[in-house]
Amino acid sequence: MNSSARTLLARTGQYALALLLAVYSAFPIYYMIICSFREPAVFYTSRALLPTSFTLEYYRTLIRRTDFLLQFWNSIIVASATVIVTLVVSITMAYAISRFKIRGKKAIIGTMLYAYMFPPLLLAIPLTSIFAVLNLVDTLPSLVVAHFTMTLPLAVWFLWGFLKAMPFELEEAAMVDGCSRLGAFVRVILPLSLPGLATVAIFSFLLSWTDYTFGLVLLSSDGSKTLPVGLASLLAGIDMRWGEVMAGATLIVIPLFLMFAFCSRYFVAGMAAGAVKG
Amino acid sequence: MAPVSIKGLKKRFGSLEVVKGIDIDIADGEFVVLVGPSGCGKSTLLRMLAGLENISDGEIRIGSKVVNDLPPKDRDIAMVFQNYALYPHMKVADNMGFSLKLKKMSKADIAPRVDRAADILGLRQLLDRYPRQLSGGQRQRVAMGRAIVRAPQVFLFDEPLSNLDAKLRVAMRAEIKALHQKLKTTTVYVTHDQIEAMTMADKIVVMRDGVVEQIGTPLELYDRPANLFVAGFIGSPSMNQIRGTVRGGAFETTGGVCLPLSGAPKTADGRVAIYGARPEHFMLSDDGLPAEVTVVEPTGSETHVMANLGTTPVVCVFRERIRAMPGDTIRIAPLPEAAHLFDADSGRAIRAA
Repeated sequence: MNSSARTLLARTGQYALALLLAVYSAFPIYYMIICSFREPAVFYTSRALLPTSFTLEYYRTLIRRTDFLLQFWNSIIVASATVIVTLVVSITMAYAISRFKIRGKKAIIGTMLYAYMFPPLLLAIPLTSIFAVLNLVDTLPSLVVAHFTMTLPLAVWFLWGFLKAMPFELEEAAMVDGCSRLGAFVRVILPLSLPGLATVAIFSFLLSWTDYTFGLVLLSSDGSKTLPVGLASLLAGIDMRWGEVMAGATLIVIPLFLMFAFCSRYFVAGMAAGAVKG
Repeated sequence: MAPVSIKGLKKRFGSLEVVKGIDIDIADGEFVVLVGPSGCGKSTLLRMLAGLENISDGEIRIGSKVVNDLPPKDRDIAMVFQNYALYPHMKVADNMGFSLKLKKMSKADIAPRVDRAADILGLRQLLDRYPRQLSGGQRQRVAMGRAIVRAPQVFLFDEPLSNLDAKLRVAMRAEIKALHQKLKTTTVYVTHDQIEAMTMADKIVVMRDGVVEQIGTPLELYDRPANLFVAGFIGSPSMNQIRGTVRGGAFETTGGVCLPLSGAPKTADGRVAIYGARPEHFMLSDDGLPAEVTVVEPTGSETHVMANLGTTPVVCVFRERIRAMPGDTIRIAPLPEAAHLFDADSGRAIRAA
């Protein structure tokens, strides 16, 4: 066998493997979308892998007869707030840790990683009692704070690696060129941190948007529920409304798709930078 | 352009003193090179001039203004860093115009100044590129362009050539010197490379362990080193340093070889001392001292010979091509009027008063 034929074979093998993996992860999503459009009459009986019928009934029910839109809005608010708070706090913390001599710097970074290893459920109970004392239970800010406790450690850890790899001379050059320290941070460090910030934004959003545990523990009234909790309550009733659940799940995925579509370029760059230089 | 004056300058990191009281006067338009081995405090001194390190004690003046407590941006200086420190997210033109933009200068005013600097440095074609699209030498030139666009009072260079390969380094060395001759801006240049210091400087400051060992023009330092450290640091190959005793106007090495001296002070007689002879100050001579050759290194223009003068190893540089082989004996004579004498304890030069 000559070498070009061997390359071709290797290529084909790689593509086949990639395709297999893609099908394996994408199939449940595909099937969920198919089901959300399948007519009620055949919902439980059809096993077809291709769309056989089309209806928007589940979407209509979901939007008209449940709190779906309100809960969608709640989720948007909580996730956006989590992303913004995480970005602002983590970049400033990471900058301080990477640039200044701080007593107990090692301890701060160590605790960060340790905090990240904590299972969320373990935090949920003490957090609930704290919020109870503060009269914050069943409010969206309490959920933002809870999500923030999960996102901050990893974000600081990640951005710290990112900033550490950025030469100090860049800021010094900016300061000699006429910036204050804050000016150098805003004009030089922030633009260069965009891939890192995009990565942090994506995973904070993902964590907050898909969180079920904290939502379930902290939120009780229908009006304040976020999407995952709200959707799950559709299954808790007397009749299992699988069609509506499929439709709701499909709608939940849309913002994630959009986010990845816009940020994946940065996301990949950020992951690579963190991995190699950090 | 402005003179710079440094008085009693000290820098402490905790209990560690890295700059131990330094006085240097730099005239308007002068090119001063700070040179010394790594850890001698030269870079710290430069960073204190730039305002990137706090001053523990002493005073720095740029022009007539004491700048001790001014932030870097208010010192009217420009700095070129070892790793260039170009802003990766800005094009070459924006890198060069950044400081002017921060001064709130209009785009119409910035462009001609950037263009002029680009012309001087031959960067005209590269203005639309990003730093990552440039070679090392081009990046270095952009870093210099960023400095000259501002027309500052003082240029600071922090080992700007050490990331370049040998050939480019020699070319850039000449370019920086030519640039200085054109712009006549006061320049402070840090390097650990004594050849860079010798070839570029109007005035060299040799530093070691946070103190100034000697200040002078390149040839002053070469011809009249104040102490053993400067004698050994300046010049390549290094000055031969031979231990022995001054006796009756001549020098007797510990190995018993007698070397000629001229004009040794009377007071030096009988003192234990170090005899310093530059490699090129050994002559081949039929009535010279016998030395056994150990290594011969022809460089083309000259020949480096390592030999044992009695038991003392010495390095000689001859302009002529010699046919000696290791093991041969050659006869060499040091030039007495070019010999240096240093006190064995303090390392200071012993000179006739």
